[in-house]
Amino acid sequence: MATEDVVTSVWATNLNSGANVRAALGLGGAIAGRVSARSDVGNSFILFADYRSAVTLTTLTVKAPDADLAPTRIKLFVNRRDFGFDDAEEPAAEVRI
Amino acid sequence: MPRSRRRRCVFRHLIPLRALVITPITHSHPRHPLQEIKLSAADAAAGKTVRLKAAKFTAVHTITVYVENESGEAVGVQSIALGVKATEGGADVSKIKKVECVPLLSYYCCGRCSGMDTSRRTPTQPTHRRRHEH
Repeated sequence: MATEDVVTSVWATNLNSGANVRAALGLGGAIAGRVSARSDVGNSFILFADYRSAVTLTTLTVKAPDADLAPTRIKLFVNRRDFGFDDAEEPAAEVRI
Repeated sequence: MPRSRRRRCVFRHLIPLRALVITPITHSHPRHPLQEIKLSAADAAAGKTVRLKAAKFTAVHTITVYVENESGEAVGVQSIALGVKATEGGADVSKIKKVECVPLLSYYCCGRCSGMDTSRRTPTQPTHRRRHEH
């Protein structure tokens, strides 16, 4: 299933003004070796994507060409429309890879 | 559904209902992430694919990805791509005999709300107080 076909909208919180949110979510437009999205203030940002119908997510692939900017922690939440940075602070079972 | 979680929708006036949205119930506490992934900077720089726990990531309508650099410095990515496939074995709506309305905030009732579910209230959460004003 092509990811582009099933995503209806994307948005983000705390990204720099020139960020490309679709590229940051792997929906095309990313330039190899270039940073598509960077936090505007602080050390975190949040990306959101809405799907046209219910889907199953199978994998997550991170590409961060600049090691200094690379994320060290990613948390995934599903079916949450009202979400802020406070909500992301909850502890969770960690999966180390 | 356990009896303690059942809620009725009560409207102040008669109103026309134009749509009914049935939202799948997520598998974990709504404030907790379903999966947290730790990466080394080198992993992320090289490009890293993580297999998600498929049983938890079914019936997804909205995905929220919180991204952090724990060193405290700015964080940036080229992409965080999510592999997607159609959810199989979805609910057969034609077999639903009864629909009950469950308020979205039922887990966060704070004691002054009618219909409070005391077994699940979390009255001291500051985020909750901000969201649920009286």
